[in-house]
Amino acid sequence: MPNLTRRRLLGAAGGGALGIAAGGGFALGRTTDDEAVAATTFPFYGERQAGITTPSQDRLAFGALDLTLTSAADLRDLLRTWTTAAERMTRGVPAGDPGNEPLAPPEDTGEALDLHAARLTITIGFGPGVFERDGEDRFGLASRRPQALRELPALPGEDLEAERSGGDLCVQACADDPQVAFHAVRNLTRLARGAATLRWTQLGFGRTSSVTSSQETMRNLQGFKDGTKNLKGDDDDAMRKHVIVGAGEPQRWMHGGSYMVTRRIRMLIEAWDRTTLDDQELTIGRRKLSGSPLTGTKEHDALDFKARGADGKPAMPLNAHVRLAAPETNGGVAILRRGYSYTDGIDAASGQLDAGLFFIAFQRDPRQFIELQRRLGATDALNEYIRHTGSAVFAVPPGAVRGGYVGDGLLRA
Amino acid sequence: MLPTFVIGLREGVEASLIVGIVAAFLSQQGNRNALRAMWAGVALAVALCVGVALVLEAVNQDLPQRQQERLETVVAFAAVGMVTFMIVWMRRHAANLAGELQQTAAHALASGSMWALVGMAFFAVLREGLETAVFLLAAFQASSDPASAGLGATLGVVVAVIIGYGIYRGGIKLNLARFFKFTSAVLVLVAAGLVASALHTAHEGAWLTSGQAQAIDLSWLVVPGTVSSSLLTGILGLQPQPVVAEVVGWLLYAVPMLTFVLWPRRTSLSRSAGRAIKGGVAATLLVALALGLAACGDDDTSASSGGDARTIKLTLSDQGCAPSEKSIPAGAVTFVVENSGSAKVTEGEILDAKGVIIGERENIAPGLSADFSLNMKAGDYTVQCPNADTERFAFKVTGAGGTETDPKLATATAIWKQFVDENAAELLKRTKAFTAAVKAGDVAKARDQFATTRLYYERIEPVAESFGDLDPSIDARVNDVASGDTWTGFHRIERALFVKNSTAGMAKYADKLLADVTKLHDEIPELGYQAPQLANGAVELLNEVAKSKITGEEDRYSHTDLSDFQGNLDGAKTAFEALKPVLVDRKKQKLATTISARFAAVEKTLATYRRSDEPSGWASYKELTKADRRTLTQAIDALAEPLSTVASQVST
Repeated sequence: MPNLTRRRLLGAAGGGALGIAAGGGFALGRTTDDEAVAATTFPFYGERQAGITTPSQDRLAFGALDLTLTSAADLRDLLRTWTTAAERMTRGVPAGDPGNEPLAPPEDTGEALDLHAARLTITIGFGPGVFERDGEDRFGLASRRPQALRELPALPGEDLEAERSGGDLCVQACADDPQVAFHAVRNLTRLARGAATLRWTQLGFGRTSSVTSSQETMRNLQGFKDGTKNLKGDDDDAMRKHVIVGAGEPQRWMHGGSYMVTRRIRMLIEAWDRTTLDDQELTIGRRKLSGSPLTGTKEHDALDFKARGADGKPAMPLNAHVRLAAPETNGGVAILRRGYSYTDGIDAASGQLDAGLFFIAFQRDPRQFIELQRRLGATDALNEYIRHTGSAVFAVPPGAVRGGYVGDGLLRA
Repeated sequence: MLPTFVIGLREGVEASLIVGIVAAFLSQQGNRNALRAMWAGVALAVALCVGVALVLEAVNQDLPQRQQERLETVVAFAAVGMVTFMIVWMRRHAANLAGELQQTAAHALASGSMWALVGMAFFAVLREGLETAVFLLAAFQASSDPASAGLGATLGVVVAVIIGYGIYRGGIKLNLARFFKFTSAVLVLVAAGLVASALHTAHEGAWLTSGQAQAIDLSWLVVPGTVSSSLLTGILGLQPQPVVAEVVGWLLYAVPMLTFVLWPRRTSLSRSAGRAIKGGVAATLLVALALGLAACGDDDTSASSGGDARTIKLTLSDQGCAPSEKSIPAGAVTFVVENSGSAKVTEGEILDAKGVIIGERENIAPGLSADFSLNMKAGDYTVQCPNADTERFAFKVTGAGGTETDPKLATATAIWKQFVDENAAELLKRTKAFTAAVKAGDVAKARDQFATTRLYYERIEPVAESFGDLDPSIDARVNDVASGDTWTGFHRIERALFVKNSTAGMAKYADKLLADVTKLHDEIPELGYQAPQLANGAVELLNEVAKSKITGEEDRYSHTDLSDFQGNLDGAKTAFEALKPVLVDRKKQKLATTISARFAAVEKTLATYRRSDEPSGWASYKELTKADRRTLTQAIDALAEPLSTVASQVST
């Protein structure tokens, strides 16, 4: 076995979460397990792009790019290049030659050279601008635009910053090692030089969602377990019903794909931190320590919307976050959340922490999110403590097969 | 574009002639079913041909480089064979082509077999289509610009269909004999070019190693990058510096075939002459084959005697095959390729600077080793082991044996040297005027001349930076120096001119600046340059822009940053333009085109800030918003990225 570097140990500590969830977390033999986890790879090629229904990793690096190229053929070239490089990186292999040509800049930037693949997934999506921008059909692809892919309408509770919103392409890189994730976004951005420019990026330092049934629910920056009732990526029926685009979609290239909505949700941390425990729990609708609903005793107890407290009022307040977000109160609408906690230092204007949740959701149709957010944004008790500062929507095509490239269905001549 | 146009036109005319005649018969008969079946047959044939082309192309894409070169060789020879057959067949039948076809059709009708007609159309299109597919594929592989090649082929077919339709309607009375004779002559030249390029790929595919000495230097005629060179290489397959094997192959094919095609019909060739021509064609192919076979048995390029042969070990593993030494002196060397236990990496190769495999051992099972020897000249080589995580490793041979200098590299560095020397002279001239104005206390005049003097410095900045002490004393900003006392140069005077609006106390700085620039000017002509330096210098110039011009910190008092920006860009572009013929020569046309387009994009963005009423000729940098600066940075980044790969392409 190779010597453990400090970095590997750090990365492995992060990757430990999976070991704990899977095996109960024996301290003995941890290192070996973690090495195995760190060396685990998710195949890049497949029916679906990895990074949607696959277990969520600990770290996120996200990049949204604006296209500067001018033809569908150039876009095809870019996606071919990206597919080759992304597939290599998800195997833990450098994106290109890491340095054997003294007179040329190394093709791979090198910061992930001694690191494992760390379960890296790279998920690529198309923003509405690929099909049309300001009424202009930029690449002759307007006729291939799926009905569902539109810029999100203005939603209640948002205060969006243009420079943290939108984008023609997205790269979602998730890994158990932050440097591996960052390396992926950096190298793909570099390969896109002259074809696309970065519009915004977001680092996420901790996963807040469990995506498969074996994953433990994580806590968000408000200290609450987030996403207990999240859809599970390994529940195929639920995925087909709520997340993966089915054969009913007239744009065949999206079959097996999904729609990604991202929201940069800043938490007004200082205000939250001086809120009493009672108020925090009534706002969320769950107990802080156990994660159980206010109407139950254990984390996974079902929500009881009819229960009343001793005072005769609903035990779960009508404006509690989990109540408003639950499919039961939304006509069955559900989405797959895959978000990460973020911090971007301090807000220069106020000196307060700029931190919160970088919300990522996958769904069959962005209107699922819109419907939920219309309701939440208008009445959620949580609104007092959060502000949506960034927003984007992307059509995530199905996975590529070996020899093909991501988005080849869309760009096939 | 022209070669593919001719192919498309030629094959298209044959096919559409037959289809047109069959269609005419069938519609006269009023037999709609058969007519529909015929069109279906034609469509099916076209689809089959496209399918075959796609399969061939796809197979080609997936192969490792050497096998790809070999497949291209086979395809090219097949194409040559087909086109030769076609030319010979056409020569026999050109005069009465339409008549013959009509007779066949009538015969088919008379025998009551509509399906014979349908089949005739189907097979006509299929045969012409397959020929076109194979031939076009070869032409595409030889072409540097597939888009225009594709356009040419399409146009050719379209024109052919129009001609075919015209013949069918009796509207166009084409002298078919003359038409086919003319296109035959063009096709012979195209095919001869293919023979040459097939011999070239055969060499790169390691099938052919003999006859690789340079035969003649045509670089005076075929100047890379010019339109005439595209025509000459594109149609005649002429390379600027063809090797012996290519010239011999070209002549052996072209001379007998041209004679055959252009020989007047009436004084028909004697039997023996015809046999001689056939013999010539056969001999060409035989020679090529023999060369190829010889090459196969000649993998061991044995080491020449003299000097101790050194041994370099290439250890194959899943990760790679790093050579045991990265650099050796020129001379005999033995490479020992040893497989340390990798199942997927079983091959080690040495490639020269042009990417040609000059030695290799393959199919080395885990635990085994094999060796080969080479006599190596100085230069840059690559050690390659397909399928490894890292496939390529640099390998250098230095010293005696002498570096082969590409004359185009010498031209490039000479262009750059002249540019630097001229700009240094202009800089000195303008600095004299500028410092005189400062010393005379003429603030307005000095301010006006500030940017236009600096422009010439910015153009050659990387060269100035190579004199360690001169650049800081000419161009330092206040925050670059340890204390205010040691701050000299342009920017010291800039602050006085633009902030204090005065020249008070500046006389000594003016003297110092002029002394430094004079020294720079006097030392610059002593410098020599190497091509990679030019390329790296170009990137450094763009980094200057991205680092200090974009932020506006360079000319923070005068806000004339855009003028400096232009200077850096001028220098970078001159260096690149000087190297461009070398890139084109080394088949990096696409890279050169990309870089040119991105220079144009930067220039276009920059041009929006030109202000003829400003003394510097440019808008004040304060005018640019954050978004403007971001756009400029991104355009520079887009340009500098491909530019940074040029140096490795122009070394030796």
